[in-house]
Amino acid sequence: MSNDPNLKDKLAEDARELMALPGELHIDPLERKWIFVALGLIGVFVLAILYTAFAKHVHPPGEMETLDSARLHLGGEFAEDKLGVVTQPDGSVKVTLVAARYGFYPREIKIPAGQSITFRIASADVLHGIHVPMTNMSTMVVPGYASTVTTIFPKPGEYPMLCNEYCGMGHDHMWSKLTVVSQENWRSGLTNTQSTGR
Amino acid sequence: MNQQDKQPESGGFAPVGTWVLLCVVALALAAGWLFLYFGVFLPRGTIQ
Amino acid sequence: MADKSFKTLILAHLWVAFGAFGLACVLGFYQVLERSGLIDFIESPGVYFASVSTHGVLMGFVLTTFFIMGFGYLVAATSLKTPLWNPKLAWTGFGVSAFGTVMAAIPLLLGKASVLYTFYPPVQASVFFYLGATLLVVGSWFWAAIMVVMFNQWKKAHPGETVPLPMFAYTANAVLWLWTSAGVALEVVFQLIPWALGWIDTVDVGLARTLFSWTLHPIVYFWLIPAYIVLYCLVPREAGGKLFSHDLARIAFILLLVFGLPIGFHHLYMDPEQGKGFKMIHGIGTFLVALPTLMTGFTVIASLEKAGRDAGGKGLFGWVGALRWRNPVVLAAILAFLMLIAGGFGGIVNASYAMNAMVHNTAWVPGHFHLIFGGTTVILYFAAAYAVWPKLTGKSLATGSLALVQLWTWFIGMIILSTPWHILGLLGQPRRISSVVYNSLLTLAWDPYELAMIVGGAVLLGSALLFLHILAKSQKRGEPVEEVTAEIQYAASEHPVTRVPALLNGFGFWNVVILALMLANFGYPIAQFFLTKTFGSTGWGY
Repeated sequence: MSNDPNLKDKLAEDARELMALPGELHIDPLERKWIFVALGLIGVFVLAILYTAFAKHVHPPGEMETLDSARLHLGGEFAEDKLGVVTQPDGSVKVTLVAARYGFYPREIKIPAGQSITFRIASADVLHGIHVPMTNMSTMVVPGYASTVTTIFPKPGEYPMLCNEYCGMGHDHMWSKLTVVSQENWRSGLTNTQSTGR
Repeated sequence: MNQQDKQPESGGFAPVGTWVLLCVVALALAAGWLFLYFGVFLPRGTIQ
Repeated sequence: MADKSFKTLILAHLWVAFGAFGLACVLGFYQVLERSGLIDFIESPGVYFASVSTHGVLMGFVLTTFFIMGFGYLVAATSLKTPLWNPKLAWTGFGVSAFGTVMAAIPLLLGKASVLYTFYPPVQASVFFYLGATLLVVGSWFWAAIMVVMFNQWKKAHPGETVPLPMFAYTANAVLWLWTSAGVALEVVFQLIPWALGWIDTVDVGLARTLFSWTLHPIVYFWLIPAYIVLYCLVPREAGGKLFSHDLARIAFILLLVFGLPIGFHHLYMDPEQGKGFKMIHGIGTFLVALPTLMTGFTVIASLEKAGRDAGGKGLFGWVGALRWRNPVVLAAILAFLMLIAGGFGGIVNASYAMNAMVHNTAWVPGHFHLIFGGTTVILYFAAAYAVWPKLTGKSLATGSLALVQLWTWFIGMIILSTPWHILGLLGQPRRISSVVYNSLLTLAWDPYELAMIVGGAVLLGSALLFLHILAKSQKRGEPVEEVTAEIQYAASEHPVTRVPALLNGFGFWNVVILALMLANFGYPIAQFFLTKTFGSTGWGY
């Protein structure tokens, strides 16, 4: 079909007409100004997003990585003995969780405030969403795919990790406990946590 | 028909009220968004 | 338009739409009451999630599709001044959609399809739910075909002439719907139905979500465009004026059609199965589609300003007070714009790439779409109904200023309902929960907002019932209208419309552009599921 000269000519003609369009139309001067304001407004948002994305590495989570949700327990990264908080040799912290009806496992975890935490999460059954209120820890957990999200928790305290995607009748009560301890407490290895509720 | 001239259309009517109103709206949207983005979202912790 | 069976066709569509709407409002009020935990004995996740699923399907599939089809046939015939093409086909489409609706409603009401409006797998519903939903969509394709045929027939019969704006915009909507519904059709026909029937064991949930996201954004423009047609083509005349910028109106509808489609990944920002690159591209596209809405604001408000100034309004804003606030169509437009600003702001926040983490799947999301859809769009559906009801029933609106009360209460109720909802989202409350109690201090802050929402829900329910009452009473006992023509008078253009460029009078070129954009934005993201080994999920109950 793309060899049809009539179609190609027609498209080229349409494209030329498109370029000539603005000159042919009735546009009130104030409305023309408004369109530029609107584009400028949109530009403000897009520039802020592009800037924080490329200069500050602010992105939503996501790169496709498959796994077999029905076989998590049989070994590999999400086997039961590998779950939880692990401090890497370079000091960074990785949290490995399994989402399954109706909790995030392990059910209680502790992490340090003020440093980058990477979460690796897999579903053992259906769709879940995980979100810690008042923070940017948020991602979908899709069966068949591994979720990775990296964020920082500025404020120490006790937070719930809530499921926010419908996963069945127990969805209302699907949550786990996250304790964020201050840097000094984390470093000194103390388990003395401050419960602030926020 | 070239409409590049600065004269208002339709017998002198220029929608100035609309123009001012919507510019205020645009400013409010920008201010609200910038506040949410830099004042609420990012302080909650960077994400990637 | 004097044809009685034509009016019956339209009324059938509108009553199905508004009847579904009324039932859904009752369910909605039950839901806000149940969730608050105020009344012990109604608490039940089973009933709650069946209700949410039914409410979502009734509002987002039945009210919308049937209203859009019925109003669409009306606009086509009255703006082109030709009879409806192939009424038998139209009735067939109505029948298929209605049958599908009933087929889906039964499992929904029995609690066998509590998979919510989005029906994401691997939670599985009765196969009759998926079959019914498919038939509902297939029936609407009959409507889309009729709209496109009438558009083309008119152009053939009037070579070189400008297609009237209402029909140009409505045909854009039909074209949009055909492109839009393909995504969910692929998901349901090739994945969910065979899976629910047991013909295949597993579905790839990532692929299902991706296909659904194809539909999920442009469907809201399918709903919005008829509301914008009310704004451009009915409101200026009801306000005593004319449409300020006819050419830009046509451009706005084209931009909605072309840029509303290839941007679904802002619904998948938090998902693992798509990458940052495509998410960024879809995000920028989403910001671009804000432009036609911003243009619509200027064009329609400028039309109102001219009407207000002609009516005596002085100074910078005096024309606002001089507007016909007591005309239901004009009042609805004013209230719609107020809700569009707030709802549009929320939408921009949702679209903002990484910032979506702050609001994704929180209460902010239903707060947003109740405001922008339940508010802005639906109030304009009310306006359309009020405007055309006398033409369809042959009786004037029976109830004096009740329509104004109904519109004001809808607006006030929506503000009271959606404002706390947005705040709850920022406080981190998840969506899709039937109870808001967690044993965690952070969540106690939510309680006062839940209670405030009950007030909003109650006001909205009252307003919805009042709307139905006005329509029913007018149809049964209104004063007969003497004029027999019952034609719809669309808004005239401020500037005489002579000829428009072919690009603003047809969709051939734009379909090619859409195809290219869809291939670019969805091609690889869908293909990747077939190029890698993926692990599907079997069906889960709930």
